[in-house]
Amino acid sequence: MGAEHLVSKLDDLDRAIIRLLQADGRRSNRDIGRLLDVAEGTIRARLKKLHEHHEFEIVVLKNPSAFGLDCFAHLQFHVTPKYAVEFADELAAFREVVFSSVMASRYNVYGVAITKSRDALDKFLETKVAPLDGLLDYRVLENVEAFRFDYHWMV
Amino acid sequence: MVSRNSGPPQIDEIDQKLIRLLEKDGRTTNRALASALGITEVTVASRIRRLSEKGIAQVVGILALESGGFNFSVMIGVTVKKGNSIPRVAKAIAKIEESRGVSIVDAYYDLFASVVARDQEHLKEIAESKLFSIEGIESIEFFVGIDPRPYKPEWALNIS
Repeated sequence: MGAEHLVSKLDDLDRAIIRLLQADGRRSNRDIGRLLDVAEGTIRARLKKLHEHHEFEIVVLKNPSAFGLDCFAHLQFHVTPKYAVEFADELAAFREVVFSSVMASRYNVYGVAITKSRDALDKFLETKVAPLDGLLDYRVLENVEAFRFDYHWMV
Repeated sequence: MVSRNSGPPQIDEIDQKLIRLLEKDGRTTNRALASALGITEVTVASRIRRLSEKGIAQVVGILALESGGFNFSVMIGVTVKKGNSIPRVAKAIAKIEESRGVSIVDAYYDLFASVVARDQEHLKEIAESKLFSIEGIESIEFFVGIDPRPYKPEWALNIS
């Protein structure tokens, strides 16, 4: 990838549009055009291009606790190396898991899970994760207090 | 500081439907949302504003980490020296531009966090110039991610 990533190809207008939408994704094209002194059609065309590769998207961010999800945990799995890639994929496919990665350490798969409670997390691990091929052991690091939790990038 | 909301969920059935429609297309006009929900445009606007102000749900544009060339995700388990404040160290890590999730955890370490970097040179800079100089850290264990799956962005604790 190197320097070929999206952010390195953005011009000032793209960045200005992204910044406005990072603050408020509901701002209309007309509003953005007026603020930046550019035609509405230009804004529409730029946004279409930005959305093309799904690197810039309009999403609804939700606070888990407002939806009854009070348990947030880091999971470290020790998986037989032969199964690590498959394990990370299967983990990522679960609704409870928001991120997973193969790691270069003894705990060779990492995951982040969000569930209703610690009980729900333990049940999820026992019933859905434990049966996956290659799992040897795992550690659960439950969040006590979060100081930062965002996985996107600001321009 | 980012903290969890307390108390029962403050969303009713209309909010839930509204959120679902916005998840399909966050840029649907208030007029279209109003007619889909059978409420007025003014009510749509005020509900969206309330969800955002209460930190429940917010429509935002997000730029995936990969779009900034952040191909490297590294988790860190941090132990804080006795007599030092764990929240102070957590805040110092959270202030680093490249840090992402930062939290106090209940086992194995005092803090767990992730850091994103463009390449090894960038990771070196983050570690040596930013992390290592934070007062009161006893140890940092690095877990280098070599094959991350895309992050599902819908959950976030720090909504405005």
